[in-house]
Amino acid sequence: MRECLLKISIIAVLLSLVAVSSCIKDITVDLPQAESCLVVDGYVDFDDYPVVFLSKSTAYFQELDTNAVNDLQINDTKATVIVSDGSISDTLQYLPIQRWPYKCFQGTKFKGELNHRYDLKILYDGKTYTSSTYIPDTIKIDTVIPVFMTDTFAMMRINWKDPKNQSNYYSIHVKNQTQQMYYRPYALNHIISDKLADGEEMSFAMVAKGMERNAYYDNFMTKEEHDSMYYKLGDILCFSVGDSVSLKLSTIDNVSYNIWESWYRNWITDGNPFTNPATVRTNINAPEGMEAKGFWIGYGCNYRSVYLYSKDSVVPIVKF
Amino acid sequence: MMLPQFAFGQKYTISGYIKDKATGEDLIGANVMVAGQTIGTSANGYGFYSLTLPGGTYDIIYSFIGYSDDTIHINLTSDKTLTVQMSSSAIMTQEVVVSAERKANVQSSQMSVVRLPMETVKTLPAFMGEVDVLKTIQLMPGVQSAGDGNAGFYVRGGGPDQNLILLDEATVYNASHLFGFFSVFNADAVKDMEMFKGGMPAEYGGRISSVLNISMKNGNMKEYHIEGGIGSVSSRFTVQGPIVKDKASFIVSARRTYIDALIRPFTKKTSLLRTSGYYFFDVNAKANWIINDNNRLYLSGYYGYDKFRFGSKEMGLNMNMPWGNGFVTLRYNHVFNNKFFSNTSLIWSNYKFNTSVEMLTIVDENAENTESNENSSGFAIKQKSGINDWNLKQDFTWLAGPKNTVKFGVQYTHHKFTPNTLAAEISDTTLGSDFSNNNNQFAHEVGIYIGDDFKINDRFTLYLGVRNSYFVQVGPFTRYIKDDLHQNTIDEIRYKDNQPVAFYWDVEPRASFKVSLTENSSIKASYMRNSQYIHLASISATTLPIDLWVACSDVVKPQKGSQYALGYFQNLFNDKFEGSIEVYYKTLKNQIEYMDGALPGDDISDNADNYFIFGKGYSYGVEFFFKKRVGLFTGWIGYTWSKTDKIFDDIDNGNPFPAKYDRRHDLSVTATYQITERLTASAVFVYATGNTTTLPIATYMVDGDIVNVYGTRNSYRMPAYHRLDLSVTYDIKTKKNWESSFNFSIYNVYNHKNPYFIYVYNTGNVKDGTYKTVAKQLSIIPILPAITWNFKF
Repeated sequence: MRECLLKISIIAVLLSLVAVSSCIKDITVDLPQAESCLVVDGYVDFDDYPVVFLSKSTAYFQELDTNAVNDLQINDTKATVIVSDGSISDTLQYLPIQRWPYKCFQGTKFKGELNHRYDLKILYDGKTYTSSTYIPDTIKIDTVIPVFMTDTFAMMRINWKDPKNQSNYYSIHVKNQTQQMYYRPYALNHIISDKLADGEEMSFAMVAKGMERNAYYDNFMTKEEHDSMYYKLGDILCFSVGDSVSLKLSTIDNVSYNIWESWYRNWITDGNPFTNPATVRTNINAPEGMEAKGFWIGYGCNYRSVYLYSKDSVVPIVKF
Repeated sequence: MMLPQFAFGQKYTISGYIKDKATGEDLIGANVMVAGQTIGTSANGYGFYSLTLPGGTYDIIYSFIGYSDDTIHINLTSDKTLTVQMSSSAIMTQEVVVSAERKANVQSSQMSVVRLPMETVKTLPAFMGEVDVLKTIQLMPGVQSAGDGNAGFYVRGGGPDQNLILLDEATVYNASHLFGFFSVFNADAVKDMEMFKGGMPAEYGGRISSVLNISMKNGNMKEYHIEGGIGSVSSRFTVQGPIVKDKASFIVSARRTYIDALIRPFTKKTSLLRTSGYYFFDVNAKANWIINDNNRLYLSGYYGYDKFRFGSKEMGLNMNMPWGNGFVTLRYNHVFNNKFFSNTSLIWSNYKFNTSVEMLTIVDENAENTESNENSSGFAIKQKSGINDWNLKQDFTWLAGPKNTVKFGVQYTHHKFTPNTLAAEISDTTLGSDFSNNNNQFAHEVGIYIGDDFKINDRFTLYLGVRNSYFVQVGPFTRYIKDDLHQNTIDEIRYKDNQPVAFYWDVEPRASFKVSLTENSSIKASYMRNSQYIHLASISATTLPIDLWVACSDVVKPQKGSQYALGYFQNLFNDKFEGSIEVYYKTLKNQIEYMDGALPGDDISDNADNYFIFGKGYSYGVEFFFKKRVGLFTGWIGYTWSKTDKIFDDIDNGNPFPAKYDRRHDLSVTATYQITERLTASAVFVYATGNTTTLPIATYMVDGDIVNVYGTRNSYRMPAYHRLDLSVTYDIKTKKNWESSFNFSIYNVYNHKNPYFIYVYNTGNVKDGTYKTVAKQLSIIPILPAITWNFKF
């Protein structure tokens, strides 16, 4: 939460500087050439097949039109993706998927199981990239409490019991009835650890509406963007009365947690001249002399759905 | 010229104060020389001087820049108290014989020192017509401006926190108003300034790069005066006069900007300019009382306050950002005897910086302060930080002889730091700390020093000094222990009241040496080692009030700086011109930076220093300075070539990277021409290599999102900064007891768009194939004309 507010406040400082000054001009920046590298976006959910998207990184000022985006994606003619659960190896098939970019590598031989390790091997451009992840034991959501921001907008507070004497890391994904996929809640962290609350009742303070991030890559300097960022903030962040909200609480391992933590630091500091930008961690091992970005993450998922009644309803707390 | 007649054996001392005849102000640094000899001394920071000579008759010449020399014939047969009142020469441009004063830069052992008379400061073009000591000093070689909208200044590759800024001996932690556009020093209240860029005498400590020592006027001892200035964005008003004639006086000087008030009536109710605004005000006040020849009391104070407010109904946003400094100094001068001077100071100083941001709230246009809206919002974030110091100093000056001045003393400071306290509220939920539960840091700092300025013979002068500094952080304090990735708190250590948390000490030698080559030229060398127990953690690429002062702790070690400097000094054409070349090499240890991705507010339930990484730095450079001092045309050229690198294990694999203020070239040219007796024109041109910054070099898609990959730290250099300012001052016909002048100035004459910062952002999205990245440069100060009417009666 605080990151979101901080980002907004920093943007407010920028905006106010803009308000008092019109001396902004486009410039051409001569940046050093960065080598293009393999980018892995892979996950294996409990009770679901492994999914891997592959692409290449590109120069910062590269314009990404449809052709350029297609060129960056790596399909099964260029790469082979193999996932192993220790006994079975599954060479993933390049198949359609409901979310953008609508095709990716998917497993067909086995689904993710709890307390299992999954190894990833990618053969690309004559080189082998590897990674490994773990699906921890799943944890059940106990309650879901709507927190009304206005009479019609609410976020969700979810609670669960953290197992004692072990380090646990959690992630939250969410969707409403209009969304096909689970998304990270917009603008807020979707991860939490039990380091300060081991064995206690955990509460994920606020779950905002899920949003595909690249739907909101905005130029915050224009009027339209002001409106979408601020005026409609409640609409963007909150669920509406009448929504069916599906929540996905997943356990993740420490490595995955640290990757997402760095992700948030990067997101908050990105493009912000007032901070030193953070680098997103990766758990993809590249061959000697090569680089790789991205991650391979196992999720121990537990799902719950609730209907958002009006503020005055007598059943605001949903217990399971 | 009368030659002295020596009566060998018995020595006598002449001592007293040197003052301005018209106002009774002490003349700090005024020179006292024996005619025909190279023996002499100068008045200390309180105008006191003492000169011990063998019995005999002498012509003693008193001189000070901007004043006519005063020669007094003395038959020295016993100790004498002689308070001298000097008359200011009409204008410096009159080539009066200023004997000793003009050679001071060549003949004193001190190097790397900058002294600028206020008259010079006042003739140069000023931003929005507001004469500014701090801006003028940044035109000297080795002193770099951080650029438009940056509060700090950089001395010889040192950070802005490494400058000790003293106003009447009180430490000023934030010397700027309006994000650096104005300094806190009101020129009407300032009497004298000097800066040490190197070779810092032992009486100064606690900072590793420089000392800027500014003295406020004492107030006119003879008669009441009112002066002021009415400008386009701000006005000043000063009143001074005797409380008891020649015994006690006072001065009160105040300023306020009013651009917010001027704009408001002309804007629409919904305009951002209506609901947003900025102003600052400051007040300097001082009183002093000459109890008798040997005892004198001073009470001085300063309070300054900046407030930045940004509100938008449409955005549902209300932001307040107030910050300010204040101090009170009580000083007692005592002359034990004609060779022994003492000053005791008790100083309280305070700096605070607050922010509050509220979302989804209706901005009350009539609400002037934060408090009225404080709890009305859906989201709110509030932040407080600051420093509160109590300081007790005892300084002694022993004027052992005309060739030997010893200074020694002890200084104690009690610090209370509020590194950062942040509370966030969403609806009814409070996240983070509340303000009553903040993690303040308490510390004691002690400095003991002794220094001796010793003239070996006519050619050689030596200064040797040493300072011992001690610092102890004490409880109450909570240390939060982080995991290896600095992400999660895994343990806490709680310290009780006054329980030591960390202790540091250091021996800081200081030395300067001068060899006169001729009467008009010399070579000087200096060495200084300094320890600094506080750091300014700067999260941003620019210097803003959000930068955080943090003290040394069990995690943060003291900054240590060593500087070697060598210089050649030459006066030319009967001292009408002066020139110098200085080279320096400086090492900096225990430097801090925020980790990549750190944010203000990370220290909720945490220590700010858990987000620091530590490293070292070095800087070297050469400075050229050439000045025409007298004549209708005066001015100087200062040029610095320098290189400043930092080395941090956690940044770019420990490879050196340029400091954000690494600046290869820095050029300043000033010129003042007196066209007629009433009309003066002046110009300033500055050129500086652009600051460094870090920009993304690559991008990739993952989890339906775009992630940027950044280049190495500070690997991108912004375009160069350059600017020309012009000003014309016209003195209106002076009546008796009434002076006034118009100053017309133009800042950034050719409207160069100097970069404040460069930022990059994206538009569109990948899914639609509309994703684009753009780089923009924000420049904040276009061409800005200003007119100011100054008056004095």
